[in-house]
Amino acid sequence: MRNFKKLLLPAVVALALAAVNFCLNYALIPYSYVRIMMHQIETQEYDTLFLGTSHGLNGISPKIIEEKTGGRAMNLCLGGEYPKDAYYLLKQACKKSSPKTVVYELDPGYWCTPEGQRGDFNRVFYEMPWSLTKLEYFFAKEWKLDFRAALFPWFYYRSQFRQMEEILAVKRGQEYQNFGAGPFQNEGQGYADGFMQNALATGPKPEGKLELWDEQEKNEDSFRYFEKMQAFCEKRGIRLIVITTPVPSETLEKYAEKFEESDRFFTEYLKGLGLEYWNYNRPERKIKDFDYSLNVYTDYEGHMWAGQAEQFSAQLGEDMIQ
Amino acid sequence: MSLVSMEFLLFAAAAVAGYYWIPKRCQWMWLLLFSYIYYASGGIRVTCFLLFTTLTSYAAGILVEQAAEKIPDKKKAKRRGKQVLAAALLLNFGILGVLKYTNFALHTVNGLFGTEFGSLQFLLPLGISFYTFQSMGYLLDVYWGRAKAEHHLFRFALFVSFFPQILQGPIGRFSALGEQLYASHPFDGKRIERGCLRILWGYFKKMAIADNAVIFVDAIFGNPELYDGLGLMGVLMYSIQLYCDFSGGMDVVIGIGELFGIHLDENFKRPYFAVSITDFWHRWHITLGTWMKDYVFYPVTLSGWMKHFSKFAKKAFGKQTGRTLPICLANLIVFFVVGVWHGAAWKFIVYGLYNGLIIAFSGLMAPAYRNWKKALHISDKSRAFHLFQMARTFVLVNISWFFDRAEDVPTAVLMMKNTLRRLDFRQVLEPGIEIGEASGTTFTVVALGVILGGCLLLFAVSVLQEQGKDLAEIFTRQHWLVKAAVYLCLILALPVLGQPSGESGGFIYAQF
Repeated sequence: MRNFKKLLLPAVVALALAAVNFCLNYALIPYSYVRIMMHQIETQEYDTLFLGTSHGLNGISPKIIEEKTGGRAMNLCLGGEYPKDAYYLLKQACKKSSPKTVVYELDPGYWCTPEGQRGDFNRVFYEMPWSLTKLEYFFAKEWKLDFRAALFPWFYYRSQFRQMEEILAVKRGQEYQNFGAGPFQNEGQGYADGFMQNALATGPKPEGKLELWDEQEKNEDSFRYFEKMQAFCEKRGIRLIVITTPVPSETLEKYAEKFEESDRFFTEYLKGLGLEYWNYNRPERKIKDFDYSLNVYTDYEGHMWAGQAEQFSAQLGEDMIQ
Repeated sequence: MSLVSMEFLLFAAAAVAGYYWIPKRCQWMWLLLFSYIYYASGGIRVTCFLLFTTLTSYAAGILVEQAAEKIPDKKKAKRRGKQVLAAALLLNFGILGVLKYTNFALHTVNGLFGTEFGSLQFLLPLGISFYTFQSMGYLLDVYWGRAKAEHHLFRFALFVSFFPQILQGPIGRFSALGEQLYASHPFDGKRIERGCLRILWGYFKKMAIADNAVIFVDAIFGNPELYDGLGLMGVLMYSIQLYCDFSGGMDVVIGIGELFGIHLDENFKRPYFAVSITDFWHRWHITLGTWMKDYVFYPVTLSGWMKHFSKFAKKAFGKQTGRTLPICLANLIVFFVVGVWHGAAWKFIVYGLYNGLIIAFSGLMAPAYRNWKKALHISDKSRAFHLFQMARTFVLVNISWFFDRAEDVPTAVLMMKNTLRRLDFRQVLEPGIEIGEASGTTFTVVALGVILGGCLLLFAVSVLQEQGKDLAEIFTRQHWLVKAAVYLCLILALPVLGQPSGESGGFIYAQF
């Protein structure tokens, strides 16, 4: 009886916390396209997988790639996806699929900045089904972070309590049950055909804080996990291609030195690993009739609008089959 | 391993679970194992520095003791002990000095002589200031015969490396901590409860109060020209941030100590209730203050040259001033060292000397103050005078925070000037220059509300503690449902009210 009483307090606290957590996760974490991605890699097989950052998410249309290559393609690029996240996403995807090609979209900024706690990665962890890969991912990523990120997945969404009603309505709707993309459609963008389609933005473009390549600030983890990804692909006979998406000519001119430095470094680095690097900012990779002006990009960073993304994907598909 | 990381939480839980599961005589070994795993998780190379300090202070402790016991000639024994002590102090403080202050020295030389020495890259072991001070304190205690040398190397290694306290203190004394570390501790549910409550309270202070205040602090101190009307708000927020960050960290550390049945020294005693700067330093970072008092202040005051100076001062300035002047000088030296300890920059030295000067000035003016109080019929027991003293000390402390937090001394002075000349709280709400625009964070009324609410709660708790109430003891006597509610509220307050604690884990004093 005494032992039971001793255990009562922690048990009640733990149970109450679990209940509160369950409710707040449901009410505060909005439906995200990461859920669709996770569902797709759990249920379907793909020949080509795309991994990388928001540039890839906005710039690569799997539908166009499928038309060009004839195989099934899936875009798993996400905003805030570091090579570490890409590696575990690839591992998770390969539970169901046996891809022939993996295309990694390289944004040099992700190789010289510390991993943040925000972005879509938290959703990746949250949406990933329970598996050994999820456990590995936990120890690789959540392990080092603020314990609230792992214990309370709703932590980063706590300011969304005003949208709670809306979130709940979406989660009770058919689209959510059927992994539909309807709720992500808005004036500026929408998730369709397997990638995030930006509308053509007019007016001044935000420059924001561009994360440019800086060799002095190398993020060793990014290199380590990329090499793990390469070893994983090599072991499974998967062709690994590394690309960098085209940025606006204005950005390229303004930061020419940094872009050249990055190109030199990664060409050399990837050559050392025996990998192909297609940097679409190099003169010899310029795409014919492709508008490089800032007018058709969403921002200085180089997030493309949907039409441009399709044009770029067509070229990428061509290059892949050659 | 940051105190706010998942890694640390599970690490501490595993350490505590194993501690009570293994045979009691092995408990200290278990702690040593976990302490070294904890430290080595920061890198094997930095662990070598910890090992070096452990080995040198262990060997020096034994040699000093042996010199006193085995050499029959007392003079010779003293000389031998002194030589060993000097060598160990030189080696350990030398390492600390080289790693922490070389670049500062080079920059100063460059500034003074126009030379162009480049910065050198040094590995800076985490918590080096804390464990060096702790082990050198032990050595001095052995030398002065206040403590017996520890002859068991591994037990001594645990004293130097005990994992909850190695990163940000408190700086422990061998006489108080040693025995506790090596003793066996049976499982005590009440103590665990107290420990858990203390840990949660610490996280609450850090995450809900300090991390909200840092939004304003970083924005204002990072852009003093843009927010020239908000200097006062900036320094008040820093006052809140620093106290909640450091004392919150201490609560976590002391709470974890409690989980092992080990009582670590308190480092804070409601410092903003202090009635003078001297009183403030008896309540703020107490273990550093007592370390400085025992190992710098007294040796300096009792040294031969100080006695000469005292004689000279008495002759030159009269008995009263002559007696006070050496103490003032010793205080200035102590606070110079405190400033240097806080960091390798002139602003920290100014910060230390500012505190030293106020204490020295107060000492010199003490007879005058007594006379004024008498003339004005002010009683020391009067509540109004007590409040005045607290407010005066708070203002003086906040002036010192400008030096501590601003980029450099000129910026601190500029911000102080602006505080007096351009005070304008409307800048917080003026369109176009909201806080956050420059810092990348977002100013919200919610953050201000959380800080205010948190401070009120903290104030209420502090008042009760100041009245001598043991809140943890009161808590453990409550009905389990009340306890469950308190735990739940504190746990949920961390994600609901708290801001993310930054990339580095965020505790300011974990950088020392």
